[in-house]
Amino acid sequence: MYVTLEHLLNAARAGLKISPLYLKRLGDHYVQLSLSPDSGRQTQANSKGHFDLHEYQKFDFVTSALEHAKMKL
Amino acid sequence: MTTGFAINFPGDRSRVGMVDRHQFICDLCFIDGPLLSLFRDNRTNWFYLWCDTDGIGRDRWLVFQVTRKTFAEYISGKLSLRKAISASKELFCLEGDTNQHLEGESNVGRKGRILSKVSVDLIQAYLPADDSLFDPTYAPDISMAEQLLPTRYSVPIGGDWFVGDLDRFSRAYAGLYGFFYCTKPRLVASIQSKLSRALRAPWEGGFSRVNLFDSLAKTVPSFHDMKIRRIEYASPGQLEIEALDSVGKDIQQCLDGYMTNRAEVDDHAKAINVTLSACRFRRMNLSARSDSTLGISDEQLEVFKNRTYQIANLIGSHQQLATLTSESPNCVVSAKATLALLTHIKRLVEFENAGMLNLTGRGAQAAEYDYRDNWLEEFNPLTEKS
Repeated sequence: MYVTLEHLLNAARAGLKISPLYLKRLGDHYVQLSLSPDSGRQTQANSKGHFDLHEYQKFDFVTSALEHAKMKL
Repeated sequence: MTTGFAINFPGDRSRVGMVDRHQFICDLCFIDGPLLSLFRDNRTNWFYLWCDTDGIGRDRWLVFQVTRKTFAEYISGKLSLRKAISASKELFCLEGDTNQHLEGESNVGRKGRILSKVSVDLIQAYLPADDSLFDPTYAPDISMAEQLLPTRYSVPIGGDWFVGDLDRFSRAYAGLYGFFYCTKPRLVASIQSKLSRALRAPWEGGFSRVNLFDSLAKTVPSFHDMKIRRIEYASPGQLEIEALDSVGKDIQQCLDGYMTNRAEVDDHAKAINVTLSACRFRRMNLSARSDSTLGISDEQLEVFKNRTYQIANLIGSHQQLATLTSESPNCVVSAKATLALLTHIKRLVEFENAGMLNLTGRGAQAAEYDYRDNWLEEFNPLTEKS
C-alpha cells in the first residue's frame, strides 16, 4: 500500500521503466481506502511512501473504499 | 486484465540445469516484489529481470551475464539496464512457476522450468526503457555508502611452488577473504544474514567448519570476488589480485597479529579446546541454545567468552569477531568458529614461514629458488645439442 496516489504512480512508473509489462503483475487499477487505527496494524511508510497493512479480521475493504479507478500513467 | 504471455516462448531451448549453479545475492530493484535480482555462479554476475506473467501462475525472467565493468557502470548510474542487456554475451529467457525457487535448491521446484537462449530481437516486448537507470531507493539491499569498485593489489610470493600449493593457498586465502568480507558492512547490506545462517548450522564436527568458509566465499558478490589479474612467478614474484583491497589489508593484519602473538593466541585456543572437551560440546548440536541454556558453569562460560575476546584483540580482528559473536546463537559456537578461523590463518602462516608468501613483510622470500636454473638440461642430450 502507498500513502498517496502519487506515491503509487511513481512506483508503477519506476517498475515500467525496468520491466515494460510490470502492470501485468501489479495490476492497472487502484483503490483508495479510508484507514483508521481500528483498521489494523501498519508498518512505517518508507521513503517511497510504501507501507504494509496487517488488517484486523473485522476490517472490510469494500466499505472502506473511497475511490476505484484505472491508473493514469 | 488479460491472461497469457505477451509473446510465445522465444528462442532455442537450453539445458535448464545451467541456472541451478546460480546463487541469489540480493535484489537490485524491489517494487512490491523483486523485479531485478543479482545472482552469481562461480565466475560471474548474473542478472534476473522479471519480464512477463501468464497471470495464472507462470512467470518469465530474462537471465543474462554482466561483466564487472558493466555492473559497475549500471550500479553507478552510468549505464541503463537496456544497454546492459545489449552488452551481454548471452541472453536467456527462463519460464517457471511463480512460487518456484529460482535458485533451484529444491527438486520439486525444478518441475516445469524451461530455458531458452534468445537474441534481443526476439524479446523486444520485454526490454527495459532507454532511461532504465539504477535507482538505489528501490534497492534496500544495496548500501551505496560502502566501497563499490574493486581495486588491484599484489600478494608477494616467493620460494618453490608446486601446483598443489596453489590449490592450498587459494582455498585458505579465499576462505579468509569470504570471512573478512562478510563480517563488515558492504555494498550488499544484507550480507551478514548469510553469516548468521552459517553459524546456525549444527557445528557437530568438521562439516560446519568447512561449510562456514565455503558458504561465505560463495556469498561474496562475483563483482567483489577475487580475480587474478596477473601472476609473476619468480623469487620474489607476485600475484596481482582484483578485489577489495580493504579486505586484503584485514587478512594481512590478522596474519601479522597471529605471527606476533602466536604463543598467546595458541594458549587461548588450547584453553577453549580443553573446555570444549570438558563440556562434551565438540560433537553436540548447540545451534538452538542461548548462553543461558548451555547448562555449564559461569567459569566455563567465561572461558569461551573471554578467550575468544582475547584472540580477537591479539590478531587485530576485534570488529570482525564482534560481528561473529553477535551473529552466533551462543558463545560456544562463536568460539568454535574462531578456532576454525585460526586454522585458516595458520595455513597461510605456514606459507609465510616457508618463504612462499610475504604478506606481512616478515615472511622471508626464499632466495634459493631460481626459476632460470634449468638443471634438467644436464640429463637431456637433445636439449644440450640445441
